[in-house]
Amino acid sequence: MAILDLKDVTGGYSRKPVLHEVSFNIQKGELVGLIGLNGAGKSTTIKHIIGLMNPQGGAIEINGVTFDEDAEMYRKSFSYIPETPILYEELTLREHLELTAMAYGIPQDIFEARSAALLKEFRMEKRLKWYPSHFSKGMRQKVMIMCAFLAEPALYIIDEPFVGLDPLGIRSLLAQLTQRTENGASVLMSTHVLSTAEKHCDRIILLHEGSVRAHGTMDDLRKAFGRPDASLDDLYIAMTEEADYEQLT
Amino acid sequence: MNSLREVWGSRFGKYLMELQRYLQYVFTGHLAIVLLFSIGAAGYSYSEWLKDVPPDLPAARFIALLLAASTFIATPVTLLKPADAVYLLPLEKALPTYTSRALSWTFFSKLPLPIIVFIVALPMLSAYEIGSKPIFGLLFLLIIAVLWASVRTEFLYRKANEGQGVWRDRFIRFVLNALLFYAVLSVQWIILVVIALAYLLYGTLWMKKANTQPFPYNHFIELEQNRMMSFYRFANYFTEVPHLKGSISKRSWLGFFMPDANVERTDAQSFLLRRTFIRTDESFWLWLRLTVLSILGVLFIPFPIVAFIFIGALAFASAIQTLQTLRGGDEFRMDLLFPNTEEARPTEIFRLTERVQWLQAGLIIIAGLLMHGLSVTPFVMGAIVLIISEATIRLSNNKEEE
Repeated sequence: MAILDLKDVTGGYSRKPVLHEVSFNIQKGELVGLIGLNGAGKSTTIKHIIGLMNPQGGAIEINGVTFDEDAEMYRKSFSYIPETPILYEELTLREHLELTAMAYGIPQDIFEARSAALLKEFRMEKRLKWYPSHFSKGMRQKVMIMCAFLAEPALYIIDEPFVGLDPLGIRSLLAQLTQRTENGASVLMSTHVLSTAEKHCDRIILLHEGSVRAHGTMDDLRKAFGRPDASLDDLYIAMTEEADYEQLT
Repeated sequence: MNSLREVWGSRFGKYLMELQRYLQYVFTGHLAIVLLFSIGAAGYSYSEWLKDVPPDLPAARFIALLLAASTFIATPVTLLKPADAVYLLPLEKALPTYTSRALSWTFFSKLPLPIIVFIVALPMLSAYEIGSKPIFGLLFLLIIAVLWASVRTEFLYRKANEGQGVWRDRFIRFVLNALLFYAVLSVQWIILVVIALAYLLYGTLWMKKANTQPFPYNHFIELEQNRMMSFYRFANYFTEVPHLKGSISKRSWLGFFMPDANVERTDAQSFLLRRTFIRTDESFWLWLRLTVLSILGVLFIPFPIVAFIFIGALAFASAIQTLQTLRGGDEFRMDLLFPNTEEARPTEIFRLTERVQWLQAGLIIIAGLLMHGLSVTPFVMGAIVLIISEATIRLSNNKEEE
């Protein structure tokens, strides 16, 4: 059974849809990259998956459950890291972690062990009593990442995770993602950093103007575009040019 | 946009609409009730005081100082925006077309305060037999002239010094303004002319310096942003201002109400909302201010029925404002994704508002016991707070569900 399954999802902010019958799935232990230009529909797809927007058509299942069937179970199955870090200005770093543990029902001893490991990995142990106003953008992003990883859900949904992170932070994030997928968790990661996506993702979904234009492993994509040595950058540019040409003709 | 005159016109129109939008909430809220009671009480006390004024009070000096205090702070209202530092840079020579209109608005927006001081001072001047009709007329004209000079001088000083040391300039103008008003009230024309000349020299000095300096866009833009932010913070006490980020204070002295969490036993929404209420300045100070006003009402309003209405109105205001602040705006928050957030959050908002209103009722009962002794009245007061708060919370909850 797929961890995340989108079937013909159509949706958007108004009656005119931004997404057109988007379908893809993510299996257990897969790291899947969602790639697209600005305005391609990546964030809208993510908003539909996390339940902030209702699809106008189609269905989304996480662990075999739709949002309407069991909202609590649906939400417990994933954690989300937004592109822009959104923290509670009135909570310290430790309180952010505690709040996440309470919300996801994590026992105290497991919370202590998991949070200690994450704080060490992201070099934030000395900032437990700090409020977000004292954090840089990268530190704010690290708080969001740590909260998402603390819950240890079946699926991680990550929107542009590398923005604002320093090289050590990026390395820690990638190490955590690798470790978690090895342990069976799945990851949907939207990014513009194509070289990183090419290197780390098991599969790539190319989204263009609200539709899935191509998806598969790098080899699948190279075969589909007939360019055996192409990088993801080359394939992406080829796809957008092809789409523009189709529109003109 | 053809000229800076049109830029000012368009911005000014939008600014007035923005002011109107928020002021309607300010003056229909609990401030209107408080103002009504306060102005009534102050007017009554002042008229009683005027019947038997203390003979040794230096009334002329006192009023000169009051008038100086109402005219010496003249922060320019420029309506400049951050992008102006880029787009208006090539138009610096034409900028006086814009700033002269900005200074005119600054002058007219600040004029009501010294005029109110003048009108309130008139009966006191008569009680002390100071001045005559022509002197009062001259004083009125001087108030207008002094305010105009203050507005111009503060702008020139800021332009010349990028706002550095503005309180030094304000102190000098405060002294000059006070001496000018005192000279008129004590009919000392030579002092009036000498001080007026000194003022003229002082203003000319900054005008010359300002003319040699480039326009400090960043200073005036920052000043404008701070001014608008203060207005939005004030308006936020009465209604929700969407683009305002509330300021936060640790308030560790209230740690008793925010105990360390045991993640297995503490409820996430209760943990979050308690900290939001106590550490967000807007919600905390709003509730505290209304509670203190309510206590003052119990202590100083001599007629119980008026006190009942007063504390009832404030209980309604604090319950509704606490609910609104805790509900938050439409912005995305991480707890929107928490499991069972739809059921847990409204219940916890309801519960926390109820608890802080119980606390308010308890404090009102204590104040009532101090004022009325052990009788029915303090408990009626407490009951009024509880009933009105509970009704407000429940009705607002039903409305939310609809």
